[in-house]
Amino acid sequence: MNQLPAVWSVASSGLRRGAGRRVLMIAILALTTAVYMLYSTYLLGAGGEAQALIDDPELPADVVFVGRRTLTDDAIQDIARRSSVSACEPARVIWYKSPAGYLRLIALPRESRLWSSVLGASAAAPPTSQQVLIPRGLAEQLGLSAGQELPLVPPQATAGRFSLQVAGTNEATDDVLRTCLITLLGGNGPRANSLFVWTRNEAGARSLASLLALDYGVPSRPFLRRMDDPLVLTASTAASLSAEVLAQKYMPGVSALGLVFVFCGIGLFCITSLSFMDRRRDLAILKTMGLESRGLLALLLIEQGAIALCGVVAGTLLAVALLARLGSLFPGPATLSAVTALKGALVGAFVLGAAASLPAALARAATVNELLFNLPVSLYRQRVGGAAGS
Amino acid sequence: MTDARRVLGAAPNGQPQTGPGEPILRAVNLNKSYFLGEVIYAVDDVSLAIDKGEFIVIVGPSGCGKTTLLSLLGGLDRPNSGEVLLAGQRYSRLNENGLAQLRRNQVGFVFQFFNLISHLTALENVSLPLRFTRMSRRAVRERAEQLLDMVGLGQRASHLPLQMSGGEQQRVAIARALANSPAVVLADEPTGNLDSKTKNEMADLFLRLNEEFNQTFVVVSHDEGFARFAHRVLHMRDGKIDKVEAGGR
Repeated sequence: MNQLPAVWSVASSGLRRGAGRRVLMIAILALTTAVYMLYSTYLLGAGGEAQALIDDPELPADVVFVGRRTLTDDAIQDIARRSSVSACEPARVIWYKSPAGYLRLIALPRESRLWSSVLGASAAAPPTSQQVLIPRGLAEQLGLSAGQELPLVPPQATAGRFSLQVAGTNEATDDVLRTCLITLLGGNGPRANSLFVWTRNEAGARSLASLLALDYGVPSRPFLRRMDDPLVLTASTAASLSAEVLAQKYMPGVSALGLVFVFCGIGLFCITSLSFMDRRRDLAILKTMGLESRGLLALLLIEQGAIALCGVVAGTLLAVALLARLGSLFPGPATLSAVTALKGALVGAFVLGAAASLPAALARAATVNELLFNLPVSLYRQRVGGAAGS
Repeated sequence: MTDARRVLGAAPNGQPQTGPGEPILRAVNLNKSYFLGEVIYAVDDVSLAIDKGEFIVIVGPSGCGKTTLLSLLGGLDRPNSGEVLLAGQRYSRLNENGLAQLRRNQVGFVFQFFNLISHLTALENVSLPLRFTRMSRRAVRERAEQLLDMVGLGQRASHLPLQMSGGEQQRVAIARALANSPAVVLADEPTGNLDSKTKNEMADLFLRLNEEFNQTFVVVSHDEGFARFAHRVLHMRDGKIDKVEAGGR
């Protein structure tokens, strides 16, 4: 473009001339960019927290299916195939009569991930199927401690009393496990009659629960873990909870961010409008001398681009400095990622572009006379005229 | 086209008003109106023809449409109807970029308030129209320096407009207007903001440029000094050219 040298000359000297105003624009833009970057970094941390909730090893299953009869391997595999099951673990759930009343005994395979929900399970987990973890309250009530015997009786039998040695107290974080006796599902003992099923979403969990109820019928007791239990999360409820967690942190931030954007945008708009008013004469001169639309566009792009570049760089530096000082307030790592920096740069450029678009459109549409004589500029102009008689 | 031929070079009274050479700038039935509560005809059916090398002065009371006519002749504004032709180019057939090109290459403007870019030096201001062309930086600089020398400001090249007097600023504006060797220079009250001594100097400069370089001038002015140097003096009233006189040359 052969207009570029002239445009460059005017733009570069114009930028130097209006230094105070440009610095103010750069400062506002830097603030906008930095606020976005800080907030985005904060959200990443909060998102990490929420993700940690989803990946929490203490999460129990989404569907606990307690069958009346023993489940065959085929049945387990069949259930595992159904719905959107992401993991399926067999267990045996049996009710026993104890000195303190009816208790549910859950026998878990050694490799079950549910052991991780039992605090200290690695040390106190029953090494054999003859040992049991008992709820802490029950241990206190019965005065039992590790090494003592807990007598149990099958619920529908008068005979068959047996004892399991207390390996420790049950300190499971899960509400189901916490209230149960827990023992190891032995290789030669009773077979699994229950399933702990992890599904990928709530709909899958509900669907599977219905299927199990339908297929295995009463008195099968598939039940969906309750959503209002903070420790009981399906994948989707975890997601919704994380969204809730995010929303709690997010909404006030979004409002504040929105306000910052609005005020910064208005500030930038006012300054660019003032600059346009101040430069009407210069623009008129340039147009008089033959500056075309694309030349004007180049002029504005050079000027606003320089401001955007400086503002974004300053904003990034500001964000890095603030992250270094205020890192402890952030839920995640207080470091500015390249993606966040790039997004911040785009947001800054967008805010500046939006603020400058109307003055730029006016500058483009204005005629020389409108610019020279401070006449109102019409953005829409109907083309009239032409040769009389031609 | 027949209609255009009939009116080209004809004054409102129908008498031919062409100069000694071939017309370089023509206006045909130009109309420009504004709506300010009621329709105001700033330029009302004006036709004129200006020859190469002519020095035309347009006079008239304030608000009679002189500046509007100049804007239309220079392609700064578009008429409601009518046509302007400069060096054979019809303005109505040009889009905005075309008009910009025409102004860049064929028209020089001098304004009452100089209209220099305040943050550029005299040399940079004069260079500016040249930098819109494909000239090399060196050629641009040489040409700008020549022009500044020509208007007597060779020593003030590095000064900013605010560091110069009104007369000097106007000389810079004239040098800038001449930068691209325009077909016509349009000047709107070029001495309106100057003291009487500077006015005379400026009028002499215009005369010299006209005589030495055969530069065509259309000057809107109240200054009698210009009328003395003009080939023709056009009197405007209520948007019309109501009288055409021979100038002092």
